[in-house]
Amino acid sequence: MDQLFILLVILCALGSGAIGGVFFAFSNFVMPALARIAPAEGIHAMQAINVTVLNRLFLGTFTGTGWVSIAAIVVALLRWDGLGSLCAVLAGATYVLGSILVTMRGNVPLNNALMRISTIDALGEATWRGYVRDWTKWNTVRTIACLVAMVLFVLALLLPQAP
Amino acid sequence: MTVVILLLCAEFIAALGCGLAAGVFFAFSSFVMQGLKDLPAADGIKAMNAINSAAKKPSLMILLFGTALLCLVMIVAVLWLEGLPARADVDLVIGPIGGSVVYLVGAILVTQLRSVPLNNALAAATNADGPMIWKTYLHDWVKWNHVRTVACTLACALLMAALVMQLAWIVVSR
Repeated sequence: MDQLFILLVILCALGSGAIGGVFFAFSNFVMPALARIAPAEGIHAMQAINVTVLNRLFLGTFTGTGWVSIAAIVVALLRWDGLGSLCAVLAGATYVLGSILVTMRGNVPLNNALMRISTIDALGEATWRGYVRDWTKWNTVRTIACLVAMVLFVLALLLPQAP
Repeated sequence: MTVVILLLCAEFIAALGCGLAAGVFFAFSSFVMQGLKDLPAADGIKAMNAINSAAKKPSLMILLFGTALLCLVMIVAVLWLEGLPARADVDLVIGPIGGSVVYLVGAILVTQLRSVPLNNALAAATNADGPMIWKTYLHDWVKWNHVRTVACTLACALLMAALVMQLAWIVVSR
C-alpha cells in the first residue's frame, strides 16, 4: 500500500467520523432538545445555528472530506489492490452520496423553508413541527452514511494487510 | 493470538468511538455555540440547558463511556498481558496506549472536571445571574470543548495508525 493512499484514507476516516458525529449529535439530542422548548425559541435557535454553520472550519471539513474522498477513489482505481481498494471506493461513494448529496437535496431545502418563517403563528408552528420531523429523518440518513463510510475507510486501511 | 485479535477489535471500535465523539464536540466548537451566542442571553441559556438535559441519554453515554471502557481494557491488555506482539516494539505500544490516554484525559476527564460543573452552574442560573453565568459559560465551556474535540481527533488518528502498524507487524512476524 502506498503512503499517499494511506494518508488520503486516514484523512477521509477522520473527516467522515467528525461529520458523522456532528450529525449524530443533532439526531440524538440537539433536535429533540429544540423540539422540547417553546416553538418560537426552537425556531430562533435553529435559524441561528443554520446561519453560523456556514463557516470556513465546518464547511471546509464537510466538503473537504468529499474532495479527499474523490481523490481516494481515483487513487484506489489507478492502483487497484483488491478488497482494500474496493472498500475505499465504496466508502468514498457512501460519503459523497449519503452525506453531501443528502444534505443538498434533503436538508438544505428544509433549512431554506425554515429561514422564511417570520411570524410564529399556527402556520409557523406547523412548519416547525414538519421541519423537526423531516430534517431529523434526513439527518439520520446522513449519520448512518458517515458511520458506514468511516467503517469502510478504516477497513480500506486494514484489508490489504490482513494475514 | 486470540488476545491479539481482541485487541485489534477493541482498537477498531475505539477508533470509531473517538471519531464520532470528536464530531459531537466539533459541532459545538465550530457552529452550535456561536449560533446560541447570537440569540438573546435568556434564549441561549434555555436552548443550551435543554440540549444538556437531552444529551443525558443512553446512546451518547454508551458512545462516550463505552469508548472509555475500551480504552481502559486496551491499556490493561497491552501493559499486563504477556505474549502480545505489541510489547515487542515500543512503536506498536504508542498507538493504543497513547490514543487511550489522550481520550481518557482529553475527553472523559475534561468532561467530568470542567464541562459538567459548568453545565450544572448553567442549569441553576436564575434571571438575575443568568447573563453573567452565560458569558462565562460561552468562554470556558467552549474552550474546554475545543480541547475535547482535538483530543478525540488525535486519539482516533493514533488508534487507526496503531491498527495499521500492528497488522503489518503480525503479517511480518508470521
